Amino acid sequence: MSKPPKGVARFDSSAAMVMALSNALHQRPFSSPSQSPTLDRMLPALNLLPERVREWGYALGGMAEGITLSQAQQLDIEGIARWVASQYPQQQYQAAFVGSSNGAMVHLAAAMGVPWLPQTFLCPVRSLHNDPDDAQKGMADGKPITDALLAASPHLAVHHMQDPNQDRLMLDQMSYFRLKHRKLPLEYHEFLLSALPPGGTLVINHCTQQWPATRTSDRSFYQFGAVGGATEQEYFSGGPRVMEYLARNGVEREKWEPPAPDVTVPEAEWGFDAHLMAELKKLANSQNWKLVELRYENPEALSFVTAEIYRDWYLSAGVIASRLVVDNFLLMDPWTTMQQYAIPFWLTFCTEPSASSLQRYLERQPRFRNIDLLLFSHGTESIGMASIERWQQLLNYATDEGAFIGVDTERFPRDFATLSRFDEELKQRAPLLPPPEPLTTETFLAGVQRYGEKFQVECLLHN
Amino acid sequence: MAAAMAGTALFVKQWRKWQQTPPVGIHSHQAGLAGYYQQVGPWRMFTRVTPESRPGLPVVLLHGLVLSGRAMEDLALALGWEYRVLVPDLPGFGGSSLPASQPVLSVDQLAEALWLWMQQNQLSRAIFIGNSMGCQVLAALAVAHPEAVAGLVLQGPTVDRHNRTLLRQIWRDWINGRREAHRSPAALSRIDYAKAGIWRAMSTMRLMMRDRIEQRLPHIKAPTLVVRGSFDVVSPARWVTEMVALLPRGELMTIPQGTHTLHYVYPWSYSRAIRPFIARVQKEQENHE
Repeated sequence: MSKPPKGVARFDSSAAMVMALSNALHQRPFSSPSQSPTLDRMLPALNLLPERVREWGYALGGMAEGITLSQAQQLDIEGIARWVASQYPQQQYQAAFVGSSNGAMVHLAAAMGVPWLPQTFLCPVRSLHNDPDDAQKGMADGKPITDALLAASPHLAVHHMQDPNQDRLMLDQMSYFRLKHRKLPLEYHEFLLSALPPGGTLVINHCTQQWPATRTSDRSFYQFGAVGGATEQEYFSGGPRVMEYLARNGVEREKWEPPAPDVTVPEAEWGFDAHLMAELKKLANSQNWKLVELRYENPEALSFVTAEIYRDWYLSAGVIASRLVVDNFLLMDPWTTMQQYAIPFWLTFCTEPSASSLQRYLERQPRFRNIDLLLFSHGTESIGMASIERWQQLLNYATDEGAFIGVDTERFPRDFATLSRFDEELKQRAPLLPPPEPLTTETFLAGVQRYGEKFQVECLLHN
Repeated sequence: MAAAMAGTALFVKQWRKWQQTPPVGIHSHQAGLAGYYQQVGPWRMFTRVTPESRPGLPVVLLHGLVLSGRAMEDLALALGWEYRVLVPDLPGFGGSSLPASQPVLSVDQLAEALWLWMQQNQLSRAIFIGNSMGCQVLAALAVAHPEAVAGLVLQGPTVDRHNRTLLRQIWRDWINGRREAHRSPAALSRIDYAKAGIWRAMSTMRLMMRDRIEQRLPHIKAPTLVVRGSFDVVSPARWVTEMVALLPRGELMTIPQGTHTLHYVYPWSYSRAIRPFIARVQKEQENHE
């Protein structure tokens, strides 16, 4: 497993999900999101340090992923696409996914044994001594980097993203740029053509989540805030929770003052930029591929559908699933989950809206005997973060045992060692057995059509 | 001294190993690509052929200098979904290697050998796809035997008349090599150099440099698609545009980010890009009949 090239962050949902899926396709667990045994060994030691030092260490780790402005000018888009494609076994597949990052989709692709090519990737750029709360300055400082990235390829949309609520620690030392392919890179093109024979199915994973942004050019946007615990209104107009959060962090302001948004665009991390659609349609028609679009707004909507499809998939293999593995952000292991005949339920983050999603799911289901919960630590007590007590409450839905997996509840949300611990602990939870026969495209489509409407997931057949 | 001798011995051993490499790659063989030797006039030639027999005109892929038809195998398999594809090795190269005592063939002589090969294989007419020096051989064939050529795809054609020096060509090849380092055909080149022999490779290069493809282009009657990868420094944009202008029925296609050996580096994308042209020529042929 090779390290991602410069300009891709391993700590991001997109790169981590590619690695999680590719590990599953290689029939391996996803035990190291960092892909660095040295870092994995250091994380437990980091956890023992005082809070401030721990935060500093975490930010430093993130900063190591960042590139410089001059490196941004020479960003190797094809090299990045090549790295993604090279993660998957070189063989022919019944289907392939393209589009938005989504943990539930990763589980579906893993069950089908097929690859996914992300449209979006995070390019972190080093930018020392930032003020995460100063949006005006953030946007101005980001301008040269945006220009450099725009120049790197005429087929990229650049979303400069600043979320002082959830990315507070990282934003101190770097700026986030999410890049979306508006045309398929040659490497993606080559991979799809070689991997998908005529009659195969190309699935566009289309998350329609939008966010207000400020347009900075015809292909670039500045996005303040992001999907998570705080609402759009809180980011743009403030409120009691914002005031309290800023005061708690020693910031002398009552609310944020971001540039006025003038456009609504696909959300930087999860949203799908539909510019890619026409090319995918043309490609699918010329290759005699079936083209299917999975369309949903809330990224977690697909988690409900995936959980139902998994239940049926296990049932058809003669297994009544009684375990639930709750994934969080990039913490997931599709291969181990399948080997344990556990149903996956992916949550975008450790926030209250995600906790509510899980609660809604648990309330509608027959009780699980075991619930295993992974919990991502982002290093800050952000607005809307769900507390350990809230998660414990949800774990109590299990009839036998609900457990935090690899989580140091005392240190959360500064429990950075969870990244190196979660999978080892998950593997200990249940015997590992050979997973059922791969889910067929037909069964997957039937499942999405059967359960999609109930959870606002549309399944559109384009040819 | 002893180390130098040991190094030389090891290199000779490796060189012999390369010379004995089977002419069809193991993965292509598993995918059904077959190969056969035949006597074509005075030459013993090797040909790869796709497993399925498809209707319509056959498609013939022609390699460039040093690289043999081995580098065309993925492209052959990609096109094999729709067409019958044949990939010969020109006399002196790859599976058709010749002893050093045999003469080095000029571009015209190679084209003549290709025409003989067509006769031997009962191919009266075909669509040809060439790369680099293969384009020069195809241009010679199209002028000498226009009835044999239904359509031409010239990808990364050589030699840029504005830079007809060996040093400049080597420099450009080196830059191109860096650009395709991630899926480099260098390993295949080593095998094909060993099979052809350094002397034949160099002598052919010299003859190739002297050949002026631009003088043949106005006489090519067949529809011709000139393909250029935007990262190909060996066939620069200005030269390729000039070539298309000289062709009576020429058209240009640029593949963004493509390199000089894009038939090897991106065979699937390349095959998809040229497929409409091949289909058009096939249709033209049907109407003609």
